[in-house]
Formats: sequence, structure tokens, C-alpha cells
Amino acid sequence: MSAKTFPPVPDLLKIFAATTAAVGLLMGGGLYLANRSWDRMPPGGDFTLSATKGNFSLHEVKGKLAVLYFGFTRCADVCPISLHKLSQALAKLNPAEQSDVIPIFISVDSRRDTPETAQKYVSFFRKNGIGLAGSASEIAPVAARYGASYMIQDEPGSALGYSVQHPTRFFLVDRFGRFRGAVETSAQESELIDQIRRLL
Amino acid sequence: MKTFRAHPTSIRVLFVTLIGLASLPTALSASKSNVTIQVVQNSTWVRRSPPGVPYTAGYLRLKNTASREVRLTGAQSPICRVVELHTHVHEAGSVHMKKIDAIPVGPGQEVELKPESLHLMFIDLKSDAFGSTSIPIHLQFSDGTSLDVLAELRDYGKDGHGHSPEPQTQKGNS
Repeated sequence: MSAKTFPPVPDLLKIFAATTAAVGLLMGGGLYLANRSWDRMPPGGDFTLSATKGNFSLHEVKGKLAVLYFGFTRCADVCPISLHKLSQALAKLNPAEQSDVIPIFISVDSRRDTPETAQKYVSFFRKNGIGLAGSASEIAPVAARYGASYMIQDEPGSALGYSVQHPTRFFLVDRFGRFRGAVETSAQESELIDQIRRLL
Repeated sequence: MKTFRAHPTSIRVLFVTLIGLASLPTALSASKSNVTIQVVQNSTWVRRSPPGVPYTAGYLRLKNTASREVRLTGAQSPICRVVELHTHVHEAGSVHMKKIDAIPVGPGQEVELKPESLHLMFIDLKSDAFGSTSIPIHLQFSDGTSLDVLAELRDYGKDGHGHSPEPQTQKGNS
């Protein structure tokens, strides 16, 4: 199972989606609409972090679909692959849809990343992306609010000095600022596109 | 040829190179007359990192034709200060990279270093790291042999985004 999203608003659709998901699970494939790793849906919500032009708050992109990604710029493998995948998926949307989706890269590497490095990084993948950074005490509550677990682990035997454990998910926030669920970065591109379109 | 070997004696290098050129697109790498470890042809590549990012990753496929295990124990490249062997540890919706001491290749087996898995980690890239589309990499093995390969530099959107090349069967050249 690679996609983790949450039901559309109307109750009938919820029932239909849950049924479909259950069938999908029984069949060993398809989407499902409850995240097994979360006992309870993380609340999400507004937050403020540092951007290149000062503070940025999530409500500033209200009216757009925000795709949050928690990573770090010195990640040489998973982060660039994931962001490139998102970029490729968004490129498949029509121009109007594309302008309605804002990728937001949140660095969880407070020691090395700055708003500038985060912005430069996300811009490489998506021109309208927003790069955010902050101190450890600023990042932690934001990540916790979205169920985005991360951890800094010392690696004394490595020239890196430490490694950064970070989520392998895209977190989707709808036009109204509501956290609607996460899609695994390992999901098929078509699934990612479907989940994004579902919320547009 | 994207990869080739360098070995203890220059005569051997010349000989093997000539053989390789004469038999394109086949030969790749071997170590000694008793071939042990090889790099699968066209399997070696390095991802061009986004501007300003001093790290990147490289990938390749190793084939062990020996009757005993051989381990990749180290790597170096002139494009950066350090190359480390890394793997990924996936845990319930998250991942982190971890340095490892060696990558074992069982007798007669192949091991692929590929995106989101085992990889070469290039740390502290030099400012002109991507000045060439061929990246030299020196590989060291537990049996005391080594290989010099040229990796293809790949941009995003040109297979550098996470898809490893199709495996190609290599013919040894003992």
C-alpha cells in the first residue's frame, strides 16, 4: 500500500471510499483511506517558519493545495528523488491545476539548512516551491502536528557527522488549510496525481 | 566505454583496454587474471546534485564471478573529499542514510547499488565536481583488488531521478 489519504468531505463519499478501500485491501492493492501508522489523524493546521523573505505562514497559500515535504538539502538520495517525483507528477497537471499546487519544502536539518538553502533547493525542482527552515524548537512542533516523525542521529564514524531520519511521505493540505492525509513517496506517479487532483 | 579497468601493471591495462575496444560493447572490469569482481557495463552513474548541494550519490552493479564472497570495502573519487558506502534504513514511514563498512557480493552473485538503497555517498563535492560528464571512481575490494571506473554524470530527467539503468549482463574477460 503506498497511498495514504483521507476521505472527501461528503458522508456518502466517505462510505463509498471506505468500502472501496476495504475491497482494495482485501485484494492486496489499491488505495486505502486510513493511515495505519497513525492511531489518530494528526491535526495539521497553520504554522509559521522562516522563509527567505521573512516569516511564512501556511495560511498565506490558502486557496491553493499545499504539498508539504519534510527533508533536508544534503540528502543525496531520497529527498531529491522524492522532490523530482513530485515535480514530474505536477508537470502532468494542466496549467491551471499546476498553479494551484504549491510544494513546500520544510528542512528538518536545523544545523545546516537555512531559509536560503531550503528555497534554492526546492526551486531547483519546482519554481513555485517554497523553502522553509527554522530552529529545532521551531521545526519540531510543526512536524509533530503533521505526524512527520524525524530524528537527528549522530554518525561519528561518517564524514557526515550525523544522519537525518525524515518522513517518506508527501503531506497534503487542501485549499482551506485542512490537513487531508499523506501519500507515500513510493506511490506510483499516477496515484500521487490522483490524490492531488482529488483535493483540487 | 563508460567504464574500464586500471590495474597493477600498465601492460595489463593496455592489453585489457585493447581487448575491450576490440570487443565493444562488452568488456568492463576485472581485477586480475583470476577475475573476481566486475562492474556491470553501463551500470555506473552519478546524480548531478542541485546547485549548492555539496553531496550526491552514485550507483553501480557489481558482479562476483569468484567462488567466494568479495566485499566492496571502499571508494574514492577526485570530485569530492570523501566517498562512503551507504545504505538506507526504512522505518515506518521514514528513512535515514547509514554508513556501512562494506557491501558483500556472494559468489556468483550480483549486487546493485541503486536509488533509495545501497549507494556511494560523495561528500564535500569540489566546486568543479561536475565539470565533466565522466566521474572517475576508484573501488577497493576485500580481496585486495581494486577497480577504476568512469561513471556517467546524469541530470534530473535523464534517468538521474531515481531509475537505475537496465541491467546488462557482463561478460568477464579473464
